[in-house]
Amino acid sequence: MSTQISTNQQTLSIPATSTLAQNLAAFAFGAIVLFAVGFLPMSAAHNAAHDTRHTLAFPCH
Amino acid sequence: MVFRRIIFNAVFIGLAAGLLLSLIQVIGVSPIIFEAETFEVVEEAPAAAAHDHHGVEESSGHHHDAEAWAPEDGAERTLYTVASNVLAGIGFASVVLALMSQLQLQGITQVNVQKGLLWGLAGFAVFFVAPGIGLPPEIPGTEAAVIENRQLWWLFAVVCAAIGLAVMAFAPIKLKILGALSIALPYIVGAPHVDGPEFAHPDPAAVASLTELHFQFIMASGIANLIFWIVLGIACAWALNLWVHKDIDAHVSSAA
Repeated sequence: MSTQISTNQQTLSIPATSTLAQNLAAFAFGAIVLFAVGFLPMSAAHNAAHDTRHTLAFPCH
Repeated sequence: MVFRRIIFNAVFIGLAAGLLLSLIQVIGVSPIIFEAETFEVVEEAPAAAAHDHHGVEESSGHHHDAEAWAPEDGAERTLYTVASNVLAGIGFASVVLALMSQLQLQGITQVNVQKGLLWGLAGFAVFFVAPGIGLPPEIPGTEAAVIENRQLWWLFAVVCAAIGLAVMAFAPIKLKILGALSIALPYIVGAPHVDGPEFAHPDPAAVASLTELHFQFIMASGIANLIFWIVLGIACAWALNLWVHKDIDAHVSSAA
């Protein structure tokens, strides 16, 4: 896909679409983790993260 | 490669910021939650006696399911809180690093430690102040609207504030008014609230204590979040240039 990567070790030229996909994936990973900590409705998840939810001002109870 | 580096750095930043938040929380925030919960227990007792564990709290959608697992008060509860704080830190750091990375690769911004401080303040504004204006941080025992409605409005406020701040920071000057509109929109729509008293506790003295605790809690959680976000923003900016974009030239890739 990109021939520039293998030839130049100093500065890697990465297609913008490739980094966009990777940044989007990292963003999605963060959003999923935050959903689990702050929003997951399961009682056990709520109880485990209870004090964190209150402190970070996520809606709780 | 960028994905792997973001996650790797986010784990370490989340660990550091989450542990710092836990320290502040143990000293200044959790004691307020625990004290508010003593009123919650008092509130529950007569209702439980009256008709089998369904009382005043039913209206707020808060159920103490007898079978639901909960950590034991004390060390176990603190441990789960610390773990949750670290996870939240990892989540926030991933989101911030992903946004920083994309904007920098597109040549929209060149992040440095000073700008990292601004990113941290923006994170505090987006995730704490913006939703908090409509739905202030709550202590246990507060009467509030249905949880799903509040979560939806919270998300709406956060997204609008993030878009608004991004537009005001990075868009051309004539578009900046749209950023202000985006920030204002959630308050024009209005946050979901219940009619009636803030605390359902029957004793006016307890309500006065809870009101005072609530004020203390907003201050304490505000300070905790501000420190958490400043550390997170600066650490993300530092890690982005040192690790995530190591050997990646922003100009080359933005031209590609």
